[in-house]
Amino acid sequence: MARNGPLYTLLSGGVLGVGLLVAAMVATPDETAADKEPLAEATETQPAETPDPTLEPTPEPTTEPAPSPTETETAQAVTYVGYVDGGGASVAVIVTGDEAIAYLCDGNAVEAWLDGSAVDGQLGLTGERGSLTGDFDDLQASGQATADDQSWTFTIDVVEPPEGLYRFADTIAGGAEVVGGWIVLPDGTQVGALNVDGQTQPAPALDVENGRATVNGTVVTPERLG
Amino acid sequence: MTTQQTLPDRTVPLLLVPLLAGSVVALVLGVYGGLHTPTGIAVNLAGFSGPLEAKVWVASAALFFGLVQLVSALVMYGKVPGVAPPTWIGPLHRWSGRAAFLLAVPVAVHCLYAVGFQTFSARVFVHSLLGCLFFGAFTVKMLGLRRDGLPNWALPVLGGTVFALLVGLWWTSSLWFFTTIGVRF
Repeated sequence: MARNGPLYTLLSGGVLGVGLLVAAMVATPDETAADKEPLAEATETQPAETPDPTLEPTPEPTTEPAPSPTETETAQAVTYVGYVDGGGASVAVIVTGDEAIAYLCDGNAVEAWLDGSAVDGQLGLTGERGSLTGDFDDLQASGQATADDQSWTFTIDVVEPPEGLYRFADTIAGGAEVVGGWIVLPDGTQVGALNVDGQTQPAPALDVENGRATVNGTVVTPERLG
Repeated sequence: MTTQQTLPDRTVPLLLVPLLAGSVVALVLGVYGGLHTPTGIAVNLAGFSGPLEAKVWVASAALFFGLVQLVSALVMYGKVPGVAPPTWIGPLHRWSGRAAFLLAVPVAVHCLYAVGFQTFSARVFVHSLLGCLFFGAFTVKMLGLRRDGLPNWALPVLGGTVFALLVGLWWTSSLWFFTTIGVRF
């Protein structure tokens, strides 16, 4: 047996890995050299995945993207929220890079936390109590979602804070395990549910300004996701 | 591979350096995946609609060669009744292993660079962990191959570990993708 064979195998894998890593770095608009490296150079990067600078509310058409450091370092989270068609429930989707999470809730007893992929404008999410499939672009997400065996279709819009999805998950005083989700809609309505020890119930009001809610007498601080 | 039957205790330490090297590889990958801020994008393969599609298929190809590994190893060790190991079984095992490994590398680079070590769901956490362990275990196996006098069980155990990790990786990514999103290119 060629005893150096395994070593060469390892080394070639290492070289390949480092080479691809460098290629990926060159292809990625990086925080310092971003301005000089137009995205077009990365001919085979996925446009759908690129954090779209046009989403920023400050349009600067004079320069090319000129992304801020935070924008390029992390895939930027984009939040979509809205009512499902017919208004029977609300849905929130947060796309970060090629991953997405979603929360679907009727404000009463039906809810589902989902996660999955967001690639090429397509959403594919699943969770214990439901699933969601659909399409998304810079402005809207649409598709169909299921929670607790109920299905809805939806078309929802991108929102900015304080609208969005809030979540709290912890054990509160008394030992109850609480997972709360609140979807704060553009019209100011909150649709939320609280899961206490496995039982879903309507959520208490969320004080969006202070980021607080009171659960069974305990003040908790849900955080805005995305 | 022969064992030194009289001195069984002295054979296992031969694996010490490979094990250390493998641990370093796994740790470096995990730490890099955890510290590096995921970019969300990386170079894509031509011919696929997106990087995830490319990854699940390349990973599936790696798993295919992984299966060839399993079968060829069983034949090589004479564990398949009625099949005498042909002369080409060694080369087949070596080259299918190389193919599986070299296919897995680009997938891992994309994972580490674009997505990172993530813990937001059990599947993703397990996948991140298995990914780091896979390359660590593979390193141990490769370096172990270069040692004479390993215990009989060493290579089958190492190879089996690498294979199990590969199956776990595929299960938590490609199979999940095919069943959740669908079989698409």
